[in-house]
Amino acid sequence: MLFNSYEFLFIFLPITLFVYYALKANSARLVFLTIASYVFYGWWNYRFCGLLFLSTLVDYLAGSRIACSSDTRKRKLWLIISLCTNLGLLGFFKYFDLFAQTLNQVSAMVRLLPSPLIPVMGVILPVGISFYTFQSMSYTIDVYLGNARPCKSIWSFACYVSLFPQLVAGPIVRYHELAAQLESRIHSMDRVARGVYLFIFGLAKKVILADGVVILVDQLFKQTAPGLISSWAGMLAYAMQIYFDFSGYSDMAAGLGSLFGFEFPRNFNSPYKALSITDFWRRWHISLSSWLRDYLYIPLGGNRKGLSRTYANLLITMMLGGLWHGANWTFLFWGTYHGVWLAIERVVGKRSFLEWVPKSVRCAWTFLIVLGGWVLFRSSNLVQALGIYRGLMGMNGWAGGWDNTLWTTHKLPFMILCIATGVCWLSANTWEIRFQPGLATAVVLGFLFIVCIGIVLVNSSSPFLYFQF
Amino acid sequence: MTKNVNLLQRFSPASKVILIIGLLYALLIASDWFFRFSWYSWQNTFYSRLTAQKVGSFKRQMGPSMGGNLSHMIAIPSASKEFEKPRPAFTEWTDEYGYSNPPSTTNRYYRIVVVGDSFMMVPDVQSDQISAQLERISSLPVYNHACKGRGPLLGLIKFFSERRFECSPPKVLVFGMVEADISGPLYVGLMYHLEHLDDFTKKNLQSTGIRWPAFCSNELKKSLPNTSLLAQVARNVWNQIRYFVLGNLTPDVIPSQGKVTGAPLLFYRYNIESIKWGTNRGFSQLVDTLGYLDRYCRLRGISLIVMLIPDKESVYREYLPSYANPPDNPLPPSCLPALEAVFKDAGIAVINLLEPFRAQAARGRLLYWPDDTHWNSEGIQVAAELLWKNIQPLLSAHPRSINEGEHVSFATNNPAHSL
Repeated sequence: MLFNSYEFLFIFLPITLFVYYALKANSARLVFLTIASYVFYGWWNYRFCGLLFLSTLVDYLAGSRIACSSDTRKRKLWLIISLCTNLGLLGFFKYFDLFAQTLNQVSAMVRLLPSPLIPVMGVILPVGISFYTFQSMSYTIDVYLGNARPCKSIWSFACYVSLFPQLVAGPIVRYHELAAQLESRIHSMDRVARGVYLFIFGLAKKVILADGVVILVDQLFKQTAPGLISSWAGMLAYAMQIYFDFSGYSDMAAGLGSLFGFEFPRNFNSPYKALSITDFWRRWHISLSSWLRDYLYIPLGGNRKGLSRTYANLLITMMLGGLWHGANWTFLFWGTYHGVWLAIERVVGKRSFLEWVPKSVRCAWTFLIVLGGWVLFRSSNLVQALGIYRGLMGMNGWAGGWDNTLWTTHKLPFMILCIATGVCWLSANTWEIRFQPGLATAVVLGFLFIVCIGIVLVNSSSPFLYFQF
Repeated sequence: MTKNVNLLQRFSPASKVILIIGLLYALLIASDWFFRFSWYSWQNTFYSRLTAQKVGSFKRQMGPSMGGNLSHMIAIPSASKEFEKPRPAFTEWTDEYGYSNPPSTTNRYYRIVVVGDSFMMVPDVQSDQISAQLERISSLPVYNHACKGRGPLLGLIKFFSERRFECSPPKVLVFGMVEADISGPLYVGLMYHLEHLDDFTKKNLQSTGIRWPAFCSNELKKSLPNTSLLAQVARNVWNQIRYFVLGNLTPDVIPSQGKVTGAPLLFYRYNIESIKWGTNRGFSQLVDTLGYLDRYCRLRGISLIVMLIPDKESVYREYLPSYANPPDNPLPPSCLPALEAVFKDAGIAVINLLEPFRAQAARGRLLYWPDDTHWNSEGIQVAAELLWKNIQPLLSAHPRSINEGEHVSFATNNPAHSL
């Protein structure tokens, strides 16, 4: 189920809110939220609820065993069981086909081994598996390291793992951040009103700004040799789409959390206003970058083992972080690309000439680097990415694949792209805006909500005409 | 008034936000659900009536109207005006079982039955529908067993499961298969239904028939937005904004380039999209399913004829604007000739209307409503004539009628079990 779907807005959310507030005891509320979250998840494919349950059960058991045992070997064994289960699930469902395809291609090239070596199984990727496995895994690691106390109740832990506002697209909330809130939460009018504000603004970012420019992105990525205009317009649109889509979703998640009394950490902080790539990663998908920092970069040695190890650790962390986004080599290249830029920034450090130039130029330079990365991120293969790089550099001509009629047929997407770009750089983000509840705010939010609902309804309507006939 | 203002002032600022948004949200949800049940009768999708139940015939006079489903999708009177054609007044009827036939069909023997969906029972001018035209040409009673609006298979499944024709099966069963609906996976369920017909019938002989699949998330995802008044209002508002602010019609409806017999045509984007599938539509599944249906019918003494009905977008393809059929990347040819060949190889009697229709279209005849996806009385007439040519030899091969003692009974055995 998506937050911007009819079934969520018109069935799931009102029922869940009603029942949640009708229940008084916190334990009953947690049980209900867990059941509701499984319904939310199972709506897409109920079979995968089992995976969610398995991950929850194994990590809950592992956490309890680690906490109650003083034997280091036993503690390590339970940690390994937890890591193997989560990484095994993630590895199989997300990367098995990529692994099999690559191995088959290599064996076909080498011609020493029979081809295909491993059958490609066409494994269906369970929605949100990357998020909940990371979240669940962080619990056992934290318990092992003594950074978190073990969860006392399985319902409480199941609620933490499956909590629907952050289940399918984050933010990746650490257990210690939610532990106290799982036991008792504040249900104040102010928090609920702020939740409403975040949810509606997030919904607007998603359905108006992100979805509004999709057509320009599709226009670019269906061309084999895009021209200069098409490439820049399409890539700018993609940069806006991915930012408003993801940050919109994160805002909605935080808003929904607030409606149920939870306070989630901030996941985005105007990343395109970053002045360097290091700064960008402090602002983009904050929960993931901090997860990778704490559970991968620092355990690898971080910057404590010399310069070369620091660069290697940076590269490894970013490469794996890239691959976390999807089972395609383009994601690995995307991660590597960012890792290389992070390493360059570390090498150049304060001697960087960029320190001398105005902030706006540094911001533009950083955005250009990020945009270059998005080409790899969005392309389905390296050939396509190269074609777009050529287009961005004008090597396919000015107007390749660009039809002047596009201005007339795509007026609205272009208008939305201009608005999105303006919002991105000129306005404060949803977390920076000081929320001042009142009648005027309510009217603005109400209007925005109706517009968003209208767009959701227009887009969710099936073109299948049988009902109309 | 002052009292109300004071009441509002008593709320904290945060409470005002929650109150206003909450009331708005509750109002939207309540109105949508109210109209879903009262206006769209959504509840009926969860209840099936596969058994023949007399629902009572009716006959009523329908007044003249304007426009078809495509011009209605434009939803802007000033924009749809140039495409809309008037529909004359007509008498609408249904028989005792709710099908589109004149009343009093109970004790009549029908040698020909037609099944399918909305093409086989066009909503406008009932006396022009294919069963009526076939009846006029053949002078034989033709029963219309089509069900509109629920896909191509429901009429077929109901035909077998209702068992009204068990003791007196027709000689010919005509199944209308519309181009846009040609998809193997869509038809796979038919075989399952025929194999489990006894179970289905037993279940549905009882008064209630809850359609459990309608509760599945995939079904709900389709049915919920399609039965939402708010969605309809949102679509209409969006159409208005798109037309008056951006100067574009809804992208679902595509106006033609040029006119046919002086009328500009409207095309349906979904049908153009379906042409893009080419022959990649699961032909093997279609042959398996319809081959099975053909053998199933033969065991019951029925000759099955599959009539392939082309969409307007295939017949009048040259009238599609260049953005819908780009010269440098044209649409693939219609899948109907390839499907016809595959059916013929499998021994299934098939009539492909594409070439006859294109031949008539080349002569400047308009075979479809310009403002609708369906064929008009001229198109139906061409189809009915061609159909009768194919039906005639089948009937002369089996000249006996039911009155001559040809009672076929298979109530106890489902022929599917011997296939």
